[in-house]
Amino acid sequence: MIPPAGPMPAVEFSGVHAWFGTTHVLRAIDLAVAPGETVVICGPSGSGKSTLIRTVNGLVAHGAGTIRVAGVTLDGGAKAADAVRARVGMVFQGFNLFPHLTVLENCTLAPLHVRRVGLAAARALALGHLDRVGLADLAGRRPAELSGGQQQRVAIARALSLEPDVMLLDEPTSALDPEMVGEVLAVLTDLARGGTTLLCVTHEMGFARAVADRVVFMDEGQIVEIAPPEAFFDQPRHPRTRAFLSRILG
Amino acid sequence: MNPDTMNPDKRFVRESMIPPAPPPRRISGPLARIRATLFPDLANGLVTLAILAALVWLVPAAFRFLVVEAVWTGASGEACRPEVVGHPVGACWAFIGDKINYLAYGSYPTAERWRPNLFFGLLAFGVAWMLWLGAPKRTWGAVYLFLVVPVLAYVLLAGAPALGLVSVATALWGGLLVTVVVSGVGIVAALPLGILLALGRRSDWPVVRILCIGFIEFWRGVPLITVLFMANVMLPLFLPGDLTVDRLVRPLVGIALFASAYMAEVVRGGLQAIPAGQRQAALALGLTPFQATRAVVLPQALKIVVPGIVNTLIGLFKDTTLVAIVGLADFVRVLEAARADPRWSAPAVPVTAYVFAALFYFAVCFGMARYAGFIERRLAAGAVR
Ligand SMILES: Nc1ncnc2c1ncn2[C@@H]1O[C@H](COP(=O)(O)OP(=O)(O)O)[C@@H](O)[C@H]1O
Ligand SMILES: [Mg+2]
Repeated sequence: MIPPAGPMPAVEFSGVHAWFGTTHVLRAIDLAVAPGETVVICGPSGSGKSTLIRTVNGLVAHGAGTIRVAGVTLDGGAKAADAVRARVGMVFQGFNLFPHLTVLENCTLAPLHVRRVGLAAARALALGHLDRVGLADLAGRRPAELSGGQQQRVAIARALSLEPDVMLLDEPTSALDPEMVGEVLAVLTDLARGGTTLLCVTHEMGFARAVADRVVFMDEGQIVEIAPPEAFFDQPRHPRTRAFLSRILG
Repeated sequence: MNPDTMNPDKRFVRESMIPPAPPPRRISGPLARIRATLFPDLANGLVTLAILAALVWLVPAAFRFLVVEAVWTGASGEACRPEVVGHPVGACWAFIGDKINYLAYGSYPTAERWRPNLFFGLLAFGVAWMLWLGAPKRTWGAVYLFLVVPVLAYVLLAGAPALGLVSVATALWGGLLVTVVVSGVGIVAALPLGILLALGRRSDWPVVRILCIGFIEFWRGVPLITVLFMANVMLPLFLPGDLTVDRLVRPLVGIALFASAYMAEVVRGGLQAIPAGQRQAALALGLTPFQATRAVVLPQALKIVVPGIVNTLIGLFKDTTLVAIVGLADFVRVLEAARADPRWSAPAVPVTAYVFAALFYFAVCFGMARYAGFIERRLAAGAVR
């Protein structure tokens, strides 16, 4: 692999493989994400998108190859994982908010326990991020009292409370009612334009076209095609990409 | 009925929206509620009537036994003999009154009984601190109840000659004091131990997992009576020869380990009910596995299993009566001893003793159950609020 020019990548996979038992779910992944870049990952169900994104913060251990995040090499040890997780925010398809905590407490958890700022500072920080996603006035509520779109925005604020170098998003809008997709995508667009490094699995092709710097297409655990959005959507090269696009764009 | 919406050939557009209206009387209101609760249909109505009939028969009988025909004063069994007092005799409360100190302290020396009293006071203060949810500084309440009280209790009850407290051998302790000490130690030990065992049973580390499974299954597979006998006979064998273990401590260890195995399974049920995504989200936020468990997984798991925990604690409390079998003078044991006093030989006395024991255990267990119900409702309200 030719080393990418310019500054150190925010996330770098080289020759990464992963297995679940004997199932080979990631095969020879090579990918470098530049700081500030927005990369959208798409591909059929079961193609390994979630697994790829979870290897970045060590929620799934890779079986071979090297993953470097913000200069830290994930070597399977707890120390590297802690260092990386403190700098990588993650947003899940199913929100995964902590139901026993208020919205504000969800967002102060990482500042208090990981970044170890004081309670007052943590609250101020969390309220700042909640304000950024437009939910500061719901800080005292429980997650169960919010709509799906609001919950996902809280989850984004919670991930931002780490002040992360990289944000990972795994199908952040797939569990939402159609009328709520827009509010979440608006927040993500704002983040991407604001210079946060985003690695986002999504099938929202309008969002990909408008915001992504590059689109990655995966199938059967491997990267099949990488292209800037115009080229990806208008002149897909690989037959599998074309077949996939024609399926989801109709 | 709107003919336009019912007609398949007709296009329909609503002209005005229908405002909400209250439900008709027959499905709401107090009378309807009573009807729906007690007489929803013939079969349920018959059951209601049967229960009412039973209550009409039982309640006055119980009242007559406990209050109307009860004997309240007297210095010996004579006072509770129908042929002496000249009317049927229900409960012989005079007997309980005469023995109340023995029931509370056993043979604890009379001059030193202020010490158990002080212990009861300290304990009650700590329990109230913890149970009253709005109390200030409840973390300190927990430290006080789970650390300070046990140490103070030991010094106070067993004695510390250095502090001017004469030693009182545990063989002299008895009654309510022993029941409170045994169940208190059991509860204080079983909850944290049970949580640790439950977490260990789900550990990624096979050695820890297997040890915890083995421990839990061993204690669950052995009857408590056997545990008590084993603790009594075998615990000394495991310790170096010159170390003797107090006769009170042996069953205490047995009960604590036995209860912690049950507690572990209850807590494990709660841990299993928490979706894996909760832990992943906590880890992704940079929390260590320990922090993720403490701040995210455990609070939710324990909340779910409050009924199971209380059930286990109630069982533990009642099981403490079995320590009598290894010679401890617990509450039931001293009642037995008291009723055998020849001075109090009267037919009403044993009945009174057992009714009193039943009322005592029922009051404590029912109290625990009600408090748990209150906590559950509060947690349920807190979840959505
Ligand atoms: N925890 C797991 N255990 C075993 N197999 C898994 C697990 N998670 C995912 N897989 C398998 O790995 C493959 C890739 O899954 P995933 O990364 O979730 O795909 P995608 O997100 O693209 O739908 C699938 O074949 C899936 O069945
Ligand atoms: Mg997925």
